[in-house]
Amino acid sequence: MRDVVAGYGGHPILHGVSFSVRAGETLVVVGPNGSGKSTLMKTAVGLLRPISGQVLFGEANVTTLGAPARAARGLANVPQEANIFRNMTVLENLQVGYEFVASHSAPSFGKRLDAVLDLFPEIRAKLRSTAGYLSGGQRQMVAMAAALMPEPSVLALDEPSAGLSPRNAEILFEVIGRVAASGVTLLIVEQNTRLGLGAADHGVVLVGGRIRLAAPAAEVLADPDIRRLYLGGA
Amino acid sequence: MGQLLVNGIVAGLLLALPALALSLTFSVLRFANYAVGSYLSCGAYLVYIGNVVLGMPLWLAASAGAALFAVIAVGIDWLAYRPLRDRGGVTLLVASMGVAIALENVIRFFAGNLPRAYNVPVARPMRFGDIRLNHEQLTILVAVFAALAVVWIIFRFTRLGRMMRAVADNPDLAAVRGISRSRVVAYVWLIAGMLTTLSGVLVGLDANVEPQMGWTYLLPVFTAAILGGIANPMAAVAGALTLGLAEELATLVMPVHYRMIVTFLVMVALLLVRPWGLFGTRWVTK
Repeated sequence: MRDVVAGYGGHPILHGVSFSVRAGETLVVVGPNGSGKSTLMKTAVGLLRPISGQVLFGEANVTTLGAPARAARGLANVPQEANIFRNMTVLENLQVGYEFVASHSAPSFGKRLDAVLDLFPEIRAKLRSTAGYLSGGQRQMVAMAAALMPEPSVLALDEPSAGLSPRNAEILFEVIGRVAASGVTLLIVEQNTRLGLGAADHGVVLVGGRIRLAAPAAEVLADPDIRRLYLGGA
Repeated sequence: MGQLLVNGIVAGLLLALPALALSLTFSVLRFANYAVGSYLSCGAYLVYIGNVVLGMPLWLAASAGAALFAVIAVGIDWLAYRPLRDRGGVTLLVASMGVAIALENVIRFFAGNLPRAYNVPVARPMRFGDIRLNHEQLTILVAVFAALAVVWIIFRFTRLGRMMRAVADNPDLAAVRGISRSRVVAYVWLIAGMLTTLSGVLVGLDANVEPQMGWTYLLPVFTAAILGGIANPMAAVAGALTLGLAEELATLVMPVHYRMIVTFLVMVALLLVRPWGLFGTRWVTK
């Protein structure tokens, strides 16, 4: 992102935000409630067009492209909470994740299904279940699995730990670690600062719609102000 | 009693297709298309032109009319609804009232107010014991079940069906999964246009083709769709059948010409007791 100003109804929430994620790396954006994290995510994935500034994907300027066009370029997204099609089965969710994005040269649906179910073995037995009836943790797994079906190059996760128990959040971040290890570039917006930065290469601290700190994740975690404000002084 | 049940099922099936069309457009576009009755009338008149003016057999005129009105429905969306897409459901509802008035007056301008009939052979009703079934009713049964089966198969088993269900369920998530909403909207209007045209033909067969035919069906169609749960297209069909049977069985205890009261009573009871419909999901506000 380059100098992005974005908001709703002409009222900016992000004020000139610039950052980049290198291929294969994980960048986590942290910040308090109302800091603009979700606006940043919507702008990144194409659900919100910025008032000014640019969104770049590789060398390409995708600022004016909508979410479907960005998805076709390899940007997958798992939105916060409402991130599955509740009335569809788990298998249909995975099918929808694949069929409108995967290119003709992409591996077949069956191959991708096997690969994704290896990452999320918990949902293998639930393929015929209606997704809306799954537990919060299982839904988050289904949402991530669906996003990974077309073999995206970048996966954007909006508050993946929201609504999960601490144990489920830890399990989810273990899976996120496996996804990162497979070479997928990750952009994560996360309220759980310790958990998020613990899984990241780089961290960005967003406060009041402006970047307060951008540094390697370990440095952000070690920053005294960040520790005092977001980690309870630990 | 058996005859009443058959009549009720046929009456319900006449409501099923426009209720399905209404529910389908509501589920994707989140507005109640008040012009659904006028779509029904327009479709019926287009088929009348093919059948009576151009001399086509009814099935061919109905197919051509459905295809033509499907395209017109997409055109109406482009002209009237698309520019207002971000303005909310109430604005679009009012726009659809304007569309309804415009379409009805276009019909009156070109076709006049006189009732007309399709050119179909007159045949004796069939008898199954005490139950009498006329050919129009048989046509309605077969045509509506066939149309419902096709729509159900599209919904459950095709890529197009998954696109429509995805956008209806969660438009933002559908967008990030690569689904173009504008394409889905066009498909929805195509299907709604075909369904309303077919229902117009069947209503025309059952009674007459006249400019107000759709208006007569508007309240029962809305009631049927709400009865099912307006954002759930296949449940709207169940709502239509329930309403058709209720209207017909009510004639056991009240004069036939008071049937419409049943529709009002069902609508009032629903809005008071279960506004999310018999099969719909209750909306919870946090």
